[in-house]
Amino acid sequence: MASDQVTLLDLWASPFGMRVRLALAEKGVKYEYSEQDLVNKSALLLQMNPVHKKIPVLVHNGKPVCESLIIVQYIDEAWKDKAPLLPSDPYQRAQSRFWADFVDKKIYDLGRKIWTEKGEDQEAAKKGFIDSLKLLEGELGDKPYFGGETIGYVDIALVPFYTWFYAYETTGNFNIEAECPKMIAYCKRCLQKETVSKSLEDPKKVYDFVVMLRKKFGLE
Amino acid sequence: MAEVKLLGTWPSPFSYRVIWALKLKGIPYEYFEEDLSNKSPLLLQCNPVHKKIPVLIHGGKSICESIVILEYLEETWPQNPLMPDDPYERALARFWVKFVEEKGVAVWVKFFSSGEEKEKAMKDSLEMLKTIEEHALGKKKFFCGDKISLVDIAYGWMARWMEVIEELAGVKLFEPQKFPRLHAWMKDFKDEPMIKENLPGHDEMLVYFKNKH
Repeated sequence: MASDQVTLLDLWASPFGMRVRLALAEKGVKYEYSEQDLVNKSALLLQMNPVHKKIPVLVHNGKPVCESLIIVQYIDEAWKDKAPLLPSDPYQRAQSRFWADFVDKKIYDLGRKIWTEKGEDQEAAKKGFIDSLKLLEGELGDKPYFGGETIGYVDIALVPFYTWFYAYETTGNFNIEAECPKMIAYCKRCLQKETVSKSLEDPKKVYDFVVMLRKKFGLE
Repeated sequence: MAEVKLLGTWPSPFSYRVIWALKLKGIPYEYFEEDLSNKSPLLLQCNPVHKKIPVLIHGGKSICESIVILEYLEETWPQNPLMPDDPYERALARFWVKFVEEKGVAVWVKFFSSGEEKEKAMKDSLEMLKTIEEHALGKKKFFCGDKISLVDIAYGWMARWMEVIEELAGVKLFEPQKFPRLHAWMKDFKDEPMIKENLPGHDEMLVYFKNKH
């Protein structure tokens, strides 16, 4: 596929963008990274994602694919000769899709509430967040990764949020490792992989970004 | 072939999605009507995370979340395919499924609220209908071409539930002349034999939703 033209429209701090970077890294796909300004959206972004006007967008030979988990599935199918991201058995695939959907429904929304809310609402979000991580710990069990011996679809869906944990902890005044040591051990294990460490951003930089956003929204 | 069971409720559009896929693929199954005010031990055992329907049980193993179930059915029973083969076409199909998941049924239920919440729900729904009309259908008969696909199944609630909810909530957003493509799609979807034979009755639904709200 040497003639493939692959571009990723993204924002550096986005965990959704990191999912795509990780999937591309696992498959060894060369691509052009294009940092987007979400305040002044580019004509390219608006053209490639007219419905949602959001990142990430993967543009493959001129054709756009939107929504991070849909992009990850597309990457798995378009570059199917290497590093399968989803299992081959339909039941296992269904389980992977279920848990990635769970991450989408719970982790982002609850995490966002932690850094944007106060008082009771923030406490409820923290509790929900920890409960969700504990459920995920249960699903991980004794496996090194959700994908088994190798990183898979659920790992790709989840581990980018680790870069936001420090921001959640600091704004929410709680300690995730104290409640969910297995989850933190798992995330650190993932980071030992080069594909993960080069696709994920520094949590301290993400925290500075969140502080900037909080000031912007009048939360600080 | 291991047996297939479906835990659902009438008239949940999410239940019906699975019923339509099972019927279109000719998969025999046993249906169990759940009482959500008194959830069965089987439901709680098979869907401990969300405790919701639909749940598909195949050979004793349970699969939850309607769209996850649809993709599972597609991969396990490839006859009468409900997804395109090409990865890009599949990505587009999944995009439109996700779109209706986020903007669809939940929003319409808000029609039973009032004031600002209802106004916002109506505005959001109109936006959703416009986007589908302009971007999703094009000149195709169904969302992915000439045959019914997973996408049509995901949007299927519009073919019956939307009119009932509008009637009960006293709103009229879906006007055929404003949304000709969507209107034509709804007619074609309802005319498909497997769908036609498996739609909840209009009057029964009116009674059901009246009692609920």
